[in-house]
Amino acid sequence: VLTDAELIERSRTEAEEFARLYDRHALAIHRYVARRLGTDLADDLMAETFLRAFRQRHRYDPVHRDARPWLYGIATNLVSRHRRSELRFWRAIARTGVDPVVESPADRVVDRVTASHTGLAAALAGLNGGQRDVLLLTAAGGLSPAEIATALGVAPGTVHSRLSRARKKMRDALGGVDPLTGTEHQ
Amino acid sequence: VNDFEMMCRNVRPPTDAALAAGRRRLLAGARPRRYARRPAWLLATAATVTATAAVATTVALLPAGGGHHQPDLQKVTLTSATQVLGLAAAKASQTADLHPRGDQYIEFSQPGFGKLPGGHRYLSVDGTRENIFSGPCPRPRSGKTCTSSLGRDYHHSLFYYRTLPIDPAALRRTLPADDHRAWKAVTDDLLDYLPPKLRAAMLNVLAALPATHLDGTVPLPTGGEGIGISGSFQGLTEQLVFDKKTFQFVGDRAQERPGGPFVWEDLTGTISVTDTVPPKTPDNEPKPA
Repeated sequence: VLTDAELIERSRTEAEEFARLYDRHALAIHRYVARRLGTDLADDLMAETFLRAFRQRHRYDPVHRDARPWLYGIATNLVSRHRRSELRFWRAIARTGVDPVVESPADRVVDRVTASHTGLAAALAGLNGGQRDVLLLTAAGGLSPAEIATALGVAPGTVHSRLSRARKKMRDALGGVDPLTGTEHQ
Repeated sequence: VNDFEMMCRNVRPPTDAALAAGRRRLLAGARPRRYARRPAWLLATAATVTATAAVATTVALLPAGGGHHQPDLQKVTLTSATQVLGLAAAKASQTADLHPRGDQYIEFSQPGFGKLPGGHRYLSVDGTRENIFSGPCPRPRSGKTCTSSLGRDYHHSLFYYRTLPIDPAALRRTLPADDHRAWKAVTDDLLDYLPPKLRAAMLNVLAALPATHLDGTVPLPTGGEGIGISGSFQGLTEQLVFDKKTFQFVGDRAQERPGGPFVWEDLTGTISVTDTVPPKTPDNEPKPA
């Protein structure tokens, strides 16, 4: 199986090869963007992320065999153009208790989950953009701090400090519960 | 899994249609020449018919010299891609050529259909000026018109096309040896305005490619019937569609996955020559990530 880096390398001469990268990662990118902006915008930005990545493929550093940080970085950059939409999105969930992107409204668990989303959404709306980026790249993107640093083009120390502040703010808003571990802190 | 992780994971996936649309958008973008080139070509006149094997479809064919008056219709059975492309080539070669000045633009006014946005493309005749696209703004400014640069592109300008040979064999030698690449190069060019004899040569080049075959009748967006001519490469089929009555090139369709349905990728429209282009909309493109 070719690595992402190898696929991107191939796509420099065989452009259609890039579609295989889409097949691998489109769902994950969509999930990340949908979580932040809702599914309508996610459809558009998922496509735009890959189109943008395709146009920048000549600048991809093949040292990074996994292209996810690169793709999440592009997606995050696109999301950042919709900061106000994102804030409205989180605040609407906090206000109404209805999360429009949950997978299955019929799921019995959803009622409980959606209720918890209210507090989480309010807390997320209270973060600044940089803090929300690192927190959601961790939780929704599954990236490590080093990968997030690559994705955002910032120093690893910056990621750690943003993540630390984001978790503290979230804990404060959630009554001491850490958003990433689910454990309660005093 | 805590609540936050669940909230992040339990997200409704995109619909198949959205996923396919994204892939299509990527593949369209992976053809860098395509974006700047969605032309139309002008209706031609007649041809003779030589039938060979394969799928058969019956069309009403305008006899030679049909011109503007209503001709008698004659039923002809089309049985091969070679035959259809030969007819289209013969008609194209008899089309009146345009002779715009180098400092002018060829304007393509394209209709919207399905998810294909309509718009206007302005291509520099001599390739020294920026090509321009004017059409619906991307989100979140939908509903407005945005005008943006498509860059300079001499190798798809009319001045460049006039340097290419109009003999099919000689033209084939200027194209990639690989059949798939040759197909792509020619089918992209067909979407531009081409000198009529060059268009005819390109259609004849396509006819000679082993992968080119006749699909039969295809419904047109306008409600009429077309004829599909396809090339299949690596399990995916790309299809050129010609008007069944006029043999005018209508547009192209493609499969996004092997065995999947065809989706319109480009439609031709009307063509004109203009001296000026609309001013570019400031900052209508997202900044590079």
